[in-house]
Amino acid sequence: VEYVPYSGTLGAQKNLSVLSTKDPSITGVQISTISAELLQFTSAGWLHPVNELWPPEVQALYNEPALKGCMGPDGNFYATPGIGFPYLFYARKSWLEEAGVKMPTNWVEILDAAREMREWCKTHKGEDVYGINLSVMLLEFMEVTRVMLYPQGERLYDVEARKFRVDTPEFENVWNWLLTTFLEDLNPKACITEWDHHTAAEMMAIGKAAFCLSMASHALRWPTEFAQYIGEDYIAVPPPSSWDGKPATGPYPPGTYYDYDPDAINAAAPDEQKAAAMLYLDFHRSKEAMMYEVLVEGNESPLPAVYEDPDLPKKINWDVVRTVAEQLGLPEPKHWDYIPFKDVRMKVSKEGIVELYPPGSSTAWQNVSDQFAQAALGKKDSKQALEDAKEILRSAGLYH
Amino acid sequence: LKLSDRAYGVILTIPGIILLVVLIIYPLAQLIYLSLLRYDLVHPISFVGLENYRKIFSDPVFWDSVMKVLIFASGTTSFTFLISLILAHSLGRIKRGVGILRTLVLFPWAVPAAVSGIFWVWMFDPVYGLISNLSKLSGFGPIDITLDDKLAMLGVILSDSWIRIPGVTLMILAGLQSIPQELYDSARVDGADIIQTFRHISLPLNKRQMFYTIFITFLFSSRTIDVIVTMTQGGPAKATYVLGYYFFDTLYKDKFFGKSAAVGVAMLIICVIITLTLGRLFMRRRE
Repeated sequence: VEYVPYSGTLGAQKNLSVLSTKDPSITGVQISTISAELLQFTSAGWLHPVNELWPPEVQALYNEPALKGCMGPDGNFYATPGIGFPYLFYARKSWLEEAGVKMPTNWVEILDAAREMREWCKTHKGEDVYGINLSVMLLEFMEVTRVMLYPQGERLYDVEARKFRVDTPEFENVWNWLLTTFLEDLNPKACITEWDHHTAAEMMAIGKAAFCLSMASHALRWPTEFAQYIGEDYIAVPPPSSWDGKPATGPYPPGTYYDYDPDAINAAAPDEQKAAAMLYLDFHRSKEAMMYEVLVEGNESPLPAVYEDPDLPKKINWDVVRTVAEQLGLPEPKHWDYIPFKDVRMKVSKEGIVELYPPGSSTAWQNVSDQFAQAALGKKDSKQALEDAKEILRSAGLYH
Repeated sequence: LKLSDRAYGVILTIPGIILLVVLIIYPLAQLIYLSLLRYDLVHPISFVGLENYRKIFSDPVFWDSVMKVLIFASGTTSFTFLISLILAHSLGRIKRGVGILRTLVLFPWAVPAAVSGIFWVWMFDPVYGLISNLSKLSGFGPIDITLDDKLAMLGVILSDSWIRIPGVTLMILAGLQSIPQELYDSARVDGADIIQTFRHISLPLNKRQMFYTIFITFLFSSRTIDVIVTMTQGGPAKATYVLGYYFFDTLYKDKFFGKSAAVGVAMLIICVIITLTLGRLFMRRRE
């Protein structure tokens, strides 16, 4: 098995080139997003089915969304779950204590707490220190919408009706909540068009915000890469599972956002290479590989059992970790003798919701994000922008 | 074996015709055929006539991207042409160290467009960027192209122009050097200043070359997306979302092959219209 590196920003384009031209030289591919790509690639017959990797006892190890994200429309498995990317909600612990602000437990409370912290930060930390850093740039707008819809018992897409659920009060709640953070200057405008969720989290780490909603990986990165700024002065919790402290109003069971990059096999590859790739897929989803993601990289495992093993930290070969870090020019990761934020991370792994969207959704959501950006930057009336955004989503997922 | 002139001529054109068919006519026919299909990987591939065209022409984002590409290409062409004109005339007059200066002018040509985008992102960085800091020192405050739609367009125009200026400068310079030196000498004897020399000698005698550079720059910049991908990703709020980006997203994000082929054909038609318009303008001026 040969590892062929290429730029992450061109991952989707590279996959499309390899698969559409039936290039046999690349055997395994990592699907960059499960929301629509897997459906398109399996429907096109470009991926090799891997049902052999999914006997019932293996399926029983995963939660339902993780399985759903690996399945094609014909009911066959075409992928295995790779690295997980859930969101966590972060707070600057000492600042909250100094300001006398309680850790919020639902979304309405977060908005109030962000207001209080913004005022406190202006006085104690500087004008450019915000209440919350929350990126809504491009497709991250869709992700945070999902993060905030699920606690309300809603979903983004109705599979049976084959349409996005935009005409709901819950969807408007999310839109208005996010807009308020910008219009009231609680969230920096850079989070609209400039900072992705990584940058937003890094800006919080260097002391530019009291709260942040970002990927779970920062929970492990901060004590290593941002030790001098934030160290362990933060709280990381799953995104609140309640909108306003009352029971969810939507028709679906509440849950939390989850997404991952599935690993798959190029159908055009020679059989012996497919067999080797299957071994790789089986290894990459295993506890043996995922423990490095969970304890070193800071990524998440869609396999909840990884978090349940108390001996996991002892199994890490830190010499290998040190060598790889040196090769990549990165600081040596912190040696954990326990699984940090274990309960939090296991919860999102177990309860995460994965949704699959129709082709064309990415561009539609990008257009919706632009409508939001125009409203948040004061270039368009917010009600009109919301109506236009809804209209874009109403026609998305139909024939293209 | 003796061939008639006619037969000999036909044989000589065969390699050119083969290249034309293989490299242009066949791919173009394939593109047009693809644009008439419903081809989204999920549904069975089917013939849908002009439905893909109806979809893109009824999409406001498409028309917005057409407008953006016209603004972008006009801006890039104007800026590139103006700077190149000044540089070419300056280089044409310099006698010493001309080799070094020409090499320096050519330097941006060696930079890939995507790299130029990254370079200009840093130049415009609101905290560390040179341009932003110069603006702050001048009392105008920081410049953030990622938040201001007009500045974002200006930023990508500057970035794209930066890599086009060397080529255009060379083309104008080549045209200038084909003008006999005697004309400039006699103009100087007659007391003509630099502006008059430019207006009555350089401009009329180098007009063809200049129109050609305008034409080429406009066409090439109307296809650009690399600097935009690296600088603004089409934002903020679609402020720099040019037609090429619309095509890129339709193909790579959505994987709608039929629809993206229709966008490709539309881009081709727009380029043909630009070519005809500029060509007609050029011909009229020449007449």
